[in-house]
Amino acid sequence: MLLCMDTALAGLSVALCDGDRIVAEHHVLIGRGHAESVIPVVADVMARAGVDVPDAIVVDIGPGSFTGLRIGIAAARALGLAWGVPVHGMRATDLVAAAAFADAPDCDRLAVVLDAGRGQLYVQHFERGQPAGDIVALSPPDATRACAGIAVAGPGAPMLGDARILSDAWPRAADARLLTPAARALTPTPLYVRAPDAVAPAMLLS
Amino acid sequence: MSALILGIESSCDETAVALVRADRTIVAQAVASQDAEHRPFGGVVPELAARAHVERLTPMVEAVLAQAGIKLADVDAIASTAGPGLIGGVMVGLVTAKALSFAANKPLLAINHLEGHALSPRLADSGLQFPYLLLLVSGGHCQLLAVDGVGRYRRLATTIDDAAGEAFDKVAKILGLGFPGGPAVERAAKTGNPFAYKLPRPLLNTDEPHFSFAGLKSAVLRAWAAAPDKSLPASADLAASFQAAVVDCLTDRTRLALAVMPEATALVVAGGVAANSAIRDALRSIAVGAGLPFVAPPLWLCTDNAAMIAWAGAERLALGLVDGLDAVARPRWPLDPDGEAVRGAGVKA
Repeated sequence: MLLCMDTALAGLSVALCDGDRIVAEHHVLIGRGHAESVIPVVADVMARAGVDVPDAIVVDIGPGSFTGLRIGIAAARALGLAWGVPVHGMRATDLVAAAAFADAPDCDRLAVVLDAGRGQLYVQHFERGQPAGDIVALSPPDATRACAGIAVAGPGAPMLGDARILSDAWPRAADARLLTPAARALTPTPLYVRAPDAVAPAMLLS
Repeated sequence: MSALILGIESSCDETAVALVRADRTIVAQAVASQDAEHRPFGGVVPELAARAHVERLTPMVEAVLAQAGIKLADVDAIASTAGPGLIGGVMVGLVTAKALSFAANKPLLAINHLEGHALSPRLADSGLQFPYLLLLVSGGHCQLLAVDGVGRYRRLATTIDDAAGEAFDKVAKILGLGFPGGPAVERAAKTGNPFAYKLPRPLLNTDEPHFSFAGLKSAVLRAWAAAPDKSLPASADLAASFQAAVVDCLTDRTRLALAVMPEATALVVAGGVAANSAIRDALRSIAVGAGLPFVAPPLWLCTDNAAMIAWAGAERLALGLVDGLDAVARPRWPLDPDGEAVRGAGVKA
């Protein structure tokens, strides 16, 4: 039994999966408030499934909201410590791509687009289910150019100027079951992509 | 065996975990400072702090349990700072505590960081009874509180602009003394002449009970800009003069507060700035003059740590004051919600 968690973006997505089967799930767009809700939601999903301790945990490591990533990862790591079960990571872009490929079996190329905040978008290309490049943070015009001529998926897709949108669905934790074993066995540490907005101030005095 | 509390602190730039018993035994603890990460920026960068907390916290919980030879199942409750502080770090600590609390089926205690400081003297001194007058001085706060009991605090004074610790950090930056600023200024002040510069003592000898340090900081900035010689003796003199001015302000306001709290059984100081020995010595003299015991926790308990959070958890658990898994992380969280708003930025807490 795999506990799957995602708090990377506006969704709060938690599921218990048994192989390909979703045993219990909570998948709601909440925008904010992940820190308050995530553990009560895990408790609810576990109770509905009648599961006391899962066999392992997999958590969305991003990219996404820096705060959201930390909330999910801190929760997953501490649950793993308390239960004595392994904790792994999975990428938000892989989740979105896996769902899009599953819905469009004829599609062999797509780009995943996520809102990166600060007026930017995260973009990653996929081919035949596999990543075909790194995740990059781009301005909307650059992202539109980078996605020209290919289908796009992800909640950031509508922010492109002109695109063939396969899906604008948010990452769903339960889609961990669609990932390759390697894609859901990453180190559970945040995938920030962008460096912190910290500059060495000369003599900033407020 | 008395209750065993696991405490977590991550509200600023220290990641800390502690195991403390209700009988005041500190079973194990660890504190990881992030000074190295923040030093290039001359102050704490919230995003860098949050990144460091999430990397370090769970391994630290594991290490502290292992060091004590204790299983999570043997802990009686989980306490974490839930605010006030840098919200990214607070969330990491609180969510970690909630996850441990849920998975190990232990009560959660969402602790006000200021309450951790306010009650920490009772961890250090088993004889300290309520009510006492507390001067809470740190990088984010400068308050005089009547501590009437656990969860019962009356704010008698607060800062209308900068906290005392903030002023120390900024003066260290102005004088190029290094980071963190408190110890750097104190070190420099030891060799300096406190009468070398004539600096203002904001609000001194006024009836307004509050603190103000912004004008003092600006005066240091102006004095340093005008100083013909910027070598070490000169910066030491200015550091010493600044520290003497802060001591005068703190002691004057503390005397005023003691006058309106005749029921106080002790004068207590807590918070990171209480690590400053010039400030401690001056406060001790006031206590002696008022015929009261002076209580200052050991230096390690004055700076941010998790033992004080675990201890506040033990005090609250004993009264049944436990929290739900939906407890909210708060960037601002005054200890005395009924405290009147004061002019300036003092409404922060």
